[in-house]
Amino acid sequence: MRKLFFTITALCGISLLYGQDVLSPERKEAIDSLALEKVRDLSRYISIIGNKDTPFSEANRVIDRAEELFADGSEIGVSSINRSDINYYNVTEYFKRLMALNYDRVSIKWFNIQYISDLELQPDGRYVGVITIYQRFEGISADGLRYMDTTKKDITVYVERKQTQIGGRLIGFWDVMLGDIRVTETST
Amino acid sequence: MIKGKFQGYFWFLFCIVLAFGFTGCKNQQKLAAEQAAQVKAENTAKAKEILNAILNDDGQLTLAEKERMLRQAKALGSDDPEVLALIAEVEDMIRREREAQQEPQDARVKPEPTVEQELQALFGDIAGSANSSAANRLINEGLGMFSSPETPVLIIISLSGDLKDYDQPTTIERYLNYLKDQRISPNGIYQVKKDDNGKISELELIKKSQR
Repeated sequence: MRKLFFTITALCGISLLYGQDVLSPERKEAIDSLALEKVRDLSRYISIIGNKDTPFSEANRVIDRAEELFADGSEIGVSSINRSDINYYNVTEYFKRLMALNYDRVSIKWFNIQYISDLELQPDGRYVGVITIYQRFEGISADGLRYMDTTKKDITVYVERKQTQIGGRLIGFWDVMLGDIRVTETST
Repeated sequence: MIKGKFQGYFWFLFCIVLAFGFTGCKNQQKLAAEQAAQVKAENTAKAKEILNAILNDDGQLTLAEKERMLRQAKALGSDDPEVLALIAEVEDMIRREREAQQEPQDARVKPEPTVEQELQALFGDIAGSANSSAANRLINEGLGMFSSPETPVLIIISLSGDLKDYDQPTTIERYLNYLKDQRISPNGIYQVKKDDNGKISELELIKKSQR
């Protein structure tokens, strides 16, 4: 009897913990889409920062926007077909290096952006998932040499319910933060 | 004998009068015809002059003046083929000008675009800008519609009944730059709040997929 009581209490506790953020399929789908959208936004920002035609001030402004997408302490992996190791840089350093790439022309495109691990509710109330992308990089140097690679990258995504005050009222919103970007494959 | 002589004179004079009478009448008719032809020629020339003046106008004549001159030319009654062709040409020109004048009037009577329509157009224009300079110009112009560049922008990602799920709130300046960077306008207008000066003080957008 006592065992049954503890079991029911534990189940109720877990239910309460998770129940506060139990979402209808429609709302969950909206959050899934929101996280994908943030990754697409990052894709566009990376393309702008890497583009040699982007004015310096614009590139810096976009770097600020791109950095805001990431959780503190996140790292981004960089690989090359010319070496086996993968270098990881903090987000700010990654973007600065991207802007300063020693090419005359740079084209970066992301494609096949999709979840490989759905957003799942964690005990801390956050939703965590992994989105994979393919990045096609092409750089042409001043002497016409062309470097190209395609990398598969996994991006950890955190979604958390937060609140803020707008016009004197409390607004609840979904905060999507990107975590580490890990390189999983590199090919020509 | 005298009577017979007198009768002879009478008939002689009668014949002369008759002969001159016919000739005079003939001359009068001819004169009248000549005069008519001259008037007609003059009218034709005048009509051509008026009609060509309308056709060659360089913007000096108003539409009403052109219409008055056309009536004047028509009143000259010329049936000259060239005049008739010119009349047709002028009528066509006046019809086109009248239509052109009516178009702006019609546009004026059209209702002013709503603030939602203006915003939607602004968002689309920024997203579709050819380059960042053009987009920046639009952003600066567009910011004039808002209380400040820090005007809050809320974006609804999901709406079920009264329950709204929002993306992280942003400001209008950041949102307009977002449109410039992403080159798409993914949200529609849900609600616009204005301050006492008629400027937008809060903007609520909604994902187009949720509309």
